[in-house]
Amino acid sequence: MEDGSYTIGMARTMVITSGKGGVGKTTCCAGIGTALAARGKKTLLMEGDVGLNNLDAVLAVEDKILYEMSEVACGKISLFECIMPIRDNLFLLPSIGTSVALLTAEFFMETIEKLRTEFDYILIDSPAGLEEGFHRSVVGAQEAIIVTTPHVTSIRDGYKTSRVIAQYDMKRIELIVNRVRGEYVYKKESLSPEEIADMMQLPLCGVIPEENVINLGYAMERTVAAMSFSLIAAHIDGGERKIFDCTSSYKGWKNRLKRWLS
Amino acid sequence: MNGRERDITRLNRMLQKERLQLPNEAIELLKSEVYSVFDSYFDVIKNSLELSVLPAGKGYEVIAKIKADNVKKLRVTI
Ligand SMILES: Nc1ncnc2c1ncn2[C@@H]1O[C@H](COP(=O)(O)OP(=O)(O)OP(=O)(O)O)[C@@H](O)[C@H]1O
Ligand SMILES: [Mg+2]
Repeated sequence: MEDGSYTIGMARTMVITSGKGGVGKTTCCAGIGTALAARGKKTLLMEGDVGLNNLDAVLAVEDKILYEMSEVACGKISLFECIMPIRDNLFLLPSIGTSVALLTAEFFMETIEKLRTEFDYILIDSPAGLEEGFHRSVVGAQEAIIVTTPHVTSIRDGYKTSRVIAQYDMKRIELIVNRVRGEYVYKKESLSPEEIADMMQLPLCGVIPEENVINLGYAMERTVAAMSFSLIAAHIDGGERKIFDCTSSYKGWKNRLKRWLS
Repeated sequence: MNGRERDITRLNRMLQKERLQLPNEAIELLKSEVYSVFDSYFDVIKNSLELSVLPAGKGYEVIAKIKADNVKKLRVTI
């Protein structure tokens, strides 16, 4: 599966998927994209959840969209007109849910092929489920990131998804555990990300803690999640192995005292 | 058993079930073999054979259930 060979001048194409809905695919897609762009990598986020689009909302650009992918599919505008700059190195290929029937798996594959020489990374935000929309998001990707939360239902669906994805001839399939609550992991009341990865038989790409507010559009830099996304980007892009330790602020007597006093 | 331990036990079982992916043709083949064995001993009612492959311990258990005219119900672990 993993051969580490990436063609220079050709984008790495990754689908962010999960099986289960609402576990944080779109948040991860935007977060990883933002962190890759901050590393100077030209990154395109592609809306794979074409009917229930949310990448635009998570990036807080929903009011600024001029064109959408279905207009490319019907030949009204060119592909390059449709690509929307978000910030330095970060771009979005949006859908706002109209004429979605035109957005076939073939359209996705052709589009990705056309754009592979233009970007360093193309991240596709997949919809929930394992149906048509999933297939459309997966066919053009060479790598997959499965997102799960520490909940049994999400782990089970993520595992099933990884089994289906394995049939697509991926170069690499990795796992992100989202919404991890360090306190519970520390007290051994909840599964640790490592235990989850072990059970799912997937290498761990990263861990994102449960945050009070995740707001990628505005103040992303100041959140702990931002730090964990940077580590994920460093892992993907730089091969680094550091995984965010969500239990660190619960370890050691000083931290325990601080928490007890607060 | 706390919540975490219970989750581990349940998940191990669930994921183990997913791991076993016998193709439909293999199940059908197995069914016809099991059916002909049973049929040589009992008057098996047609289409009454149910075959399930379930995780057991570290492996799997194949359980066959049939209805036959001369027995009430038969459940065999293969
Ligand atoms: N680490 C986190 N901490 C707190 N809230 C989070 C975290 N990750 C995601 N969320 C919240 O969970 C909700 C669902 O997230 P998101 O839309 O990214 O999930 P999704 O998997 O893309 O959903 P869908 O399957 O509907 O596309 C959002 O409100 C998001 O802000
Ligand atoms: Mg989403």
